[in-house]
Amino acid sequence: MNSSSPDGSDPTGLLDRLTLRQRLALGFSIGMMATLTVAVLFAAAFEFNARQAANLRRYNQDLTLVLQFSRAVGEMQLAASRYFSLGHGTAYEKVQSLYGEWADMQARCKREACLSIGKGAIFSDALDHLTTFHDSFLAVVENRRDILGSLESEFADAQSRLHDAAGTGDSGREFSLSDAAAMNSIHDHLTAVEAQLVAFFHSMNSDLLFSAESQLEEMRDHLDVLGAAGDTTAQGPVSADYRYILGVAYANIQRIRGYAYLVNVVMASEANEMHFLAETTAKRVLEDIDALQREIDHTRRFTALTLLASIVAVAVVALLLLRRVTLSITRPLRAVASAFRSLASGGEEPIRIRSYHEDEIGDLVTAARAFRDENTKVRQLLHDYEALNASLEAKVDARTEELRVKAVELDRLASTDNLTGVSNRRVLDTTLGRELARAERYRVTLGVVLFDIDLFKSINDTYGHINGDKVLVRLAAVVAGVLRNTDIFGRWGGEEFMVLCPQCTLSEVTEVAKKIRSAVASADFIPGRTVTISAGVATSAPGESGEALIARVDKALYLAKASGRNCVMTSPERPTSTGAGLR
Amino acid sequence: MARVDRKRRTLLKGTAVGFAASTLPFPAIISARDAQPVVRVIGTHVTLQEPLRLRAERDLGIKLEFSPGGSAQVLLKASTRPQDFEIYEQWSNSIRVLWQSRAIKPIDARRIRYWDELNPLSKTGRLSAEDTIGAGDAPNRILYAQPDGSLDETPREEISYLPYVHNADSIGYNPQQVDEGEPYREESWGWLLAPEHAGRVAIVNAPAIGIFDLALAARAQGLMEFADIGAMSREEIDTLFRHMLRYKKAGHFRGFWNSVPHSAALMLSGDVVVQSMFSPGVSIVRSGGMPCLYAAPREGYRGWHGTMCLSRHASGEREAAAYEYMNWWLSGWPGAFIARQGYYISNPQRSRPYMSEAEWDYWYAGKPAREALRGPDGKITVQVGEQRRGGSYEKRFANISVWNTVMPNFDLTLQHWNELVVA
Repeated sequence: MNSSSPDGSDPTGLLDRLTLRQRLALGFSIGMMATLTVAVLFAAAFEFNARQAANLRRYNQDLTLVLQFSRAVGEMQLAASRYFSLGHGTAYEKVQSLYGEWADMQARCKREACLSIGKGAIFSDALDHLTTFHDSFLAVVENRRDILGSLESEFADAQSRLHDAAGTGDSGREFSLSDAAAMNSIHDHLTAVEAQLVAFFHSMNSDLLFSAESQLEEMRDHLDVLGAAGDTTAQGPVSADYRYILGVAYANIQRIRGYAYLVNVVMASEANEMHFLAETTAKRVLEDIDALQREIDHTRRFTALTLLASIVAVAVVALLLLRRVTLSITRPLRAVASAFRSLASGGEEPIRIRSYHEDEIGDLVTAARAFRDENTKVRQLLHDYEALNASLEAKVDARTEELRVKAVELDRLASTDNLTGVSNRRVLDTTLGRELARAERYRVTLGVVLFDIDLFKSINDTYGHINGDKVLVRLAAVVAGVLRNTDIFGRWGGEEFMVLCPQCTLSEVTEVAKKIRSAVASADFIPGRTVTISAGVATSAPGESGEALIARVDKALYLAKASGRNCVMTSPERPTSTGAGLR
Repeated sequence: MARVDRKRRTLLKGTAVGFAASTLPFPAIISARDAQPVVRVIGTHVTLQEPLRLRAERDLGIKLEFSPGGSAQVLLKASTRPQDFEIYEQWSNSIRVLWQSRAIKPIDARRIRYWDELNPLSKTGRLSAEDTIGAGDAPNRILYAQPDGSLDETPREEISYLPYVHNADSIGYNPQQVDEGEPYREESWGWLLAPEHAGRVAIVNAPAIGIFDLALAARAQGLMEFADIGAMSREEIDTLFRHMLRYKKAGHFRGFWNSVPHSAALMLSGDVVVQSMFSPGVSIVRSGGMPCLYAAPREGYRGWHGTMCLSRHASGEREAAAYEYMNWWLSGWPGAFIARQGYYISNPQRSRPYMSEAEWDYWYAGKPAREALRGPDGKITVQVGEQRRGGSYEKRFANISVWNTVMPNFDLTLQHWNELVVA
């Protein structure tokens, strides 16, 4: 198991260099950072929106300011014309107070931008025009006072001169009728001119000035009449007074023109310009508000999307990082678990989980290694034990086989005649008993042949015991050659042999005996000497014991011997006292 | 009410006796021994400039108090309070108002040191005998104070004003917005009413000046004709303003400017592309980085003449100092100074040594500038190779259509003007 997994989730392996607690702390930190980032993004978005909203508020304040200014200009214009046409003191105060209010704003505009956006210059220009307007207003007020004062005093002065002149005429001088008419006319005209000039102040109607000039023109004509008709020395001073009055009137008309110019042209255009600039500013502020509104709408959508995208991005990054951190924890744990499973299923690979620290995972890995080492040892022991066990069993099996072989040999040795290899007397005894029982059970007869070598003593004596033994061996082989498979052949003792023939009748067994005698008689044993046998035959009678049967067959043998040897003698089926010899 | 047709002259006659009778002795201005005589000057920013004041104080050893203001304000102030000034500087169209309001008194031409040097423009109304004299109050028609108290062209030793600065005005336009025209052939006052400039036109806010701009434009556009453009009848004035109100209501005029800086600001802001202009306004626009051509209209210029007047109340030491100040203006240096803002002086030859050859050639001779030229403020206003539009001094003043004038029906103009401005 290797922690640098092939999925490459941590190619640098940096995380593996951290302790579990550090990794957990890192995971927690990543989560916190992600949350914090999202929070900051939200805060930034809110802040941005708030700033835009603040801008919008400021723009609205600007708009309010500009509109207030526009209204103030209108009020000031109204108040100014109220003052000019009606002479209201309150109108004058109104102009002054409105100007005072906005002069502060103007001062502020000179120092700093009075509008939050780039429209301050236009607005500042508008306020400059306010100053011109106000200066003009003050000049007009001042000159109006002068002119009205002049009209009042100079015209009064003129009238009194006129009165004096008339008085002089009454007291001493003779006035012609035409002179009197002219003087009356002059008086009337002067009164009319004064009235028209004063009226002009209230209406600004140019017809009044025109009319006044006409009056003066007529007045001058009357003066010409007066001058032409009378005695120049007498009328001179009077005429001079009148001409003075005429001069006063003309001078005042010019002053009034200057006054009208200022009011009708300069102040009017200043007010107009202020309105225009205020409107322009308001329009631009509105455009800015509109633009900002669009921008707000746009950024609102944009921030929503950005926020969403950022949250997703942060979440993805955070999840990837967390996954990496989690993997760096779960991977070694899984590796350990896998190692344990491998150990459980017999694996013995060494545990190659990298752990840089003695943290909990490191501890676990160390424990796993220890467990693996112990497990390997135990397994080795078990293996050794099993190997040992297997070798022991093999040895036991070998010995058992050896013993069995030996037992078989022993058995063979126990039932075989050492010299001839045919069954020995013990086997014959056992078989006889068993076969007798069987014959009894199946109501058949058991045939028995007992024979011995004739004159065997003389063979031993003549050819020695060695050759005697050879005869015995040879004989056994010859006899075995003529017997059936069911026949049991054994050495009864010495030179005596017995054949048991299960389920054989007397004749059948006699036949067997005869074949044996014949085979032996024709076989070569010792050169120059024939070997014969004598045989007794009997079959078992029901209920007869083995000893009884043997006794009977033995008797038959004896009879054969007695009958001359090399013959077969049968024992009667019924035990009788005598047997009949057969040849 | 009888409306009598009168000539201005007859009107002016009426004041003669009045003057004689009202010239009362004034208490002599008592000044301390070590105090310099003080001359109080009211006028507009066009000539009341600080470098001039400082130079004059230094040259003359007097004290000068300049009170510059709007033309209407200073005119009203001067006409009602002659005791508040010694010298009044403005334009020829203010003369009749001041004269009739008895604010000023005649100047003794014999006390003007360079009187004989003054060129014929102010004395005869034209620089050359071949030129036609412009309509309205040509400078000679209001110069000489006649014994009956009127002003006319008959030479006298008493003059109503000292002729000094003057210029030929026209329209200024931004060649980036208005197709450049050929001087005297294509450039026209009619451009002020051209439909393609609607909403971007401004007019000088002075009835005795602006009415001629409008009248020349209306005539150029074929809207109407005038029997005498320098003395319009009531009917002509009514017709002219009926047309102009139509334009105004259609939003044709961006505004009416009261000061030279205001005119420059209107053009620099881009609000205006063609308007009535004064030469210094053109300089301001150019030094502001915007091209501005001062047209040579095919209809001819609207001429104006600077008028320096003596207060009726000036007397004694102050009067003497005032005469010195007037003489100083014709002594050369001031004429050179004012040439740099495009104004001419009545005795140019005395100013010529105070100008570089390049300056003289550009400003007076109408030749291309050999080097970049600076305005009175020291900023470059003329680039190398530029040529004064309209040509030489002589050529420009040979093409004066009308002079700024307070016409007999001024009051009617004023009333209409007010309506035009506020409509």
